[in-house]
Amino acid sequence: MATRVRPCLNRPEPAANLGRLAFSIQVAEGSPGMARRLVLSGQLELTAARRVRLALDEALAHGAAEVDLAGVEKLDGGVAAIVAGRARSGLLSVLGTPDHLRPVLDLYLARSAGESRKRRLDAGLLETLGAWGRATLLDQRRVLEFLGDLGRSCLLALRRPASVRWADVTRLMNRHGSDGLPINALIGFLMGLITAFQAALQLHKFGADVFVANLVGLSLTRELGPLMTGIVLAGRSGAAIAAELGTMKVGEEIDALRVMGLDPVRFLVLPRMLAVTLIAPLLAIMSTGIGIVGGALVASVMLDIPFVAFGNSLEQAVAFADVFGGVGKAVVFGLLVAAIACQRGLATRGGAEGVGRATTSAVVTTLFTLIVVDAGFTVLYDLWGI
Amino acid sequence: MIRARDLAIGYGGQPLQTGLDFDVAPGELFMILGGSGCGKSTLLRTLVGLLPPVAGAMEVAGLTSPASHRERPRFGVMFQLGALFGSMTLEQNVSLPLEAWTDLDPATVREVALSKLALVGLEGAGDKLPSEISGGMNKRASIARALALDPPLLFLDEPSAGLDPISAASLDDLILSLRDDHGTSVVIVTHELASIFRLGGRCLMLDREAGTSIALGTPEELRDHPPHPTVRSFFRREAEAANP
Repeated sequence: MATRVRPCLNRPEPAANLGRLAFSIQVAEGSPGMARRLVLSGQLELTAARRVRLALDEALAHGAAEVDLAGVEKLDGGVAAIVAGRARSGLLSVLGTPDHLRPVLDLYLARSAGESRKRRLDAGLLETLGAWGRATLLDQRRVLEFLGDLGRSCLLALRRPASVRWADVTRLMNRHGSDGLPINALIGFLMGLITAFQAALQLHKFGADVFVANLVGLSLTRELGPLMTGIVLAGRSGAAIAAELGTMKVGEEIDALRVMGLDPVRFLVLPRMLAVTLIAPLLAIMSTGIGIVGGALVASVMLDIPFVAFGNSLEQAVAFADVFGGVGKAVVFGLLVAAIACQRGLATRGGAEGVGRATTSAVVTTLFTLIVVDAGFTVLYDLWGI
Repeated sequence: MIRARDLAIGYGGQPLQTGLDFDVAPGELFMILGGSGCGKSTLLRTLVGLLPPVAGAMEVAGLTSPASHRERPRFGVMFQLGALFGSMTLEQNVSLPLEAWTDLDPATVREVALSKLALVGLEGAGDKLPSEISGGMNKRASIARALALDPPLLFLDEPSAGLDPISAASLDDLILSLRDDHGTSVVIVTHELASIFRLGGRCLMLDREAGTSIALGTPEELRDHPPHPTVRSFFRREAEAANP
């Protein structure tokens, strides 16, 4: 039989062979009924696996093929698995296996991953869409179940306030509030500084310097203060809560609570929701106040507006309704941060990777929700004339 | 103490094991055996109420539906991973069910919790966190927590898994002591042959291929007169029948 040799396939793997040709893969005409024949020879170590896989798949793309192992001196498990997986499909025939290589090939022929690999490749668009739809529905169902459990626990807490673990609430307020003061204060200060700086640049052109106080006061009180507090809470406390509950879930601690007759929502979720919801408006007020100080500083330095004049303008511009609206937003943002983080944490599946996914999901979902809810507040406040 | 009739267990309505029939008497030590993935832990999770049965009927410590957040638990559970609360000391872990379900004052709760820890051989370890103790101590502390309310029934999921032979034997002795000295019914999920023969009791063997139980009897009976090839392979540590 005439044999065509393709030497271009003979390039050695650089890292494993130190420049020496350790193996070769040659393509020849196949026997009758076989589209291709691959002749493998040399030291087929793990580093050759990729080339062997590509060559086999290329040969099999034309139909049934055969592989000749007569010239192979060494066959690593990885390469044997690749050959065996395709041989099990029935499309690849293995010829000339040397006796000393037969045990390793037989091992993988008996236990290759060929079938499961085929099943994965066969998953079509429809199947993928179906799986996605099912997962989404299950996710929504879990959210509804969580809301139901939460509602029931809240009602129980209202009826019997002593059933709430208040010691945990104060401890968690300290962790998520007091410990987060510096970062909230810094971000508030910088937001005030930046807002005032940008406003000063523009308003100065029109001789409207004094309105810097109005802009800084209103934007921080109504929008930026509560929103930035919500965002910092989502990144700091939301992620921590989701990771903590997720770790407890995968470590069977949530199951342990259930079998002890303790409701995880009442035991774990309610204290976290109360703590974050109570701390959020306080952080927003503090963040807004420090932001206004930052704005006053910029107005004083850049526009020579005295602190007293800045304060007077602020007093005229910012009404109680604005403060009330901002605080109201912060309460809702705190509630959302805690609820989403707790739900994602309790819905964690899998091990460490699942905890990571739950944490990411909690933060991303919270940020998106905060922006949407903030937009809703803007429309609502406009309708109410706040 | 436990009665299962034509019980089917599984996830999401998909049965993993069907037609399970067995009883556990008060003070009995009952083991659920089987290879990996056959549904041993799923059966345990169903019995303690963490999973709903797919079909059939069961009664555990007088409850037909053990999952309830509203009443004092009638059994204790030790999970495979211990499941101690990482942010609490061992004493706080054991105190938790006492605080939740009794009106005891803090000093009494503390004394009871420390005595439970001493019972499982953890004297002086009450102020340690779960991350500061070994795997064997973790499992012992988990048993102490499960015993906090003196339940008449105890479920243990793979108590010896991952332990060295000495720790495993010591844990087995503790389990026997709980049954013999306290009259506690103990249901154990395991596939550790050494523990199975050391503990004795009755064994229910599940099989993934058969999708149901394939044997019920003492370890010696099942070893000497295996009613199914998988039972023989299991007790003789043979791979062929289990992995055809």
